[in-house]
Amino acid sequence: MTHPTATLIAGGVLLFGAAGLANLYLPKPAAVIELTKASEVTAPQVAAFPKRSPALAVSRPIQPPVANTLPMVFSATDRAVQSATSDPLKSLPVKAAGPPATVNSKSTTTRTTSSLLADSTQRPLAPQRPNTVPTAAVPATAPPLDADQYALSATLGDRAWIRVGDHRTIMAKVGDSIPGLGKVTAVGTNILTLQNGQTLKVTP
Amino acid sequence: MIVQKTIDMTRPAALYLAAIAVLILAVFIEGRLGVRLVSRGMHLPLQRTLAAGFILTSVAAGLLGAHRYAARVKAPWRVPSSQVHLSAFAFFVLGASAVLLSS
Repeated sequence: MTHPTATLIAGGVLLFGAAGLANLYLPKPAAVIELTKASEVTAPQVAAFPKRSPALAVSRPIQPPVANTLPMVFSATDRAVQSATSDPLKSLPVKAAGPPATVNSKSTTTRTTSSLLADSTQRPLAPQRPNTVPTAAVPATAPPLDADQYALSATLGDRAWIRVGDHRTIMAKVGDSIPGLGKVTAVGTNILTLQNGQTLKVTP
Repeated sequence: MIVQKTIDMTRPAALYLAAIAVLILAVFIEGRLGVRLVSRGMHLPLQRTLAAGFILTSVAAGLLGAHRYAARVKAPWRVPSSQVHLSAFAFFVLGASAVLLSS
């Protein structure tokens, strides 16, 4: 095959084969950036973080953290656990969410986002106080949860809904990185496989 | 008596090269840029293995087509054009199927 055009065709064919096989079997660019854990932050990174100027601190005092009143995503199991608790904040009726099958069968919306926002606007404003919160009193980042705190709620296609410590439900798909667990490599029927070989199964 | 011993294969060669460029471009767009060319509703068992088999078969058909192309340019009265065209057609169809399966 000494003809130049035939050689060009053969080279293109081989290039297509190599590119196609590489597309199939080589890792693709990460779609989700790995979150940096608080324990991995180094001192130079902390020093390089921009400080608050004193003038800004005087004009806009630091407010202490308040409880989040926005509706969170809960599964039906979470709602049952929350209704059993006596905490008034957790006993608020929330919107049930989850995979489409769960939503269609068990969703009972009793309070919407607009009603919660209306409550927050009708609440009287708290008086502004001077900056009395010392820097050292800023709460540190919560420690990462154990692997036992994660439970697989449902799977649908290549997506999976994972309940984190009975507080919230996150959705992950193949290629996503879950902080504390690792990268999701495969999602099957009622099973999720992580990059470290660990698997999560749907608990009935 | 004038005997024509060569054959003009410029147009088929341009068509083959364009098909190869289209397939390589599709692979690049899908694999490196992350653009889905088809919907994600297709889930077949052993889909990736099937796509790899299609790619290898497509490459074999393409190499056979290039070989037949060179033979036809050298001696067009011995190699029919169908050997080149069918090989190129098989290369493109199998390659496009592999690209769709790998998405």
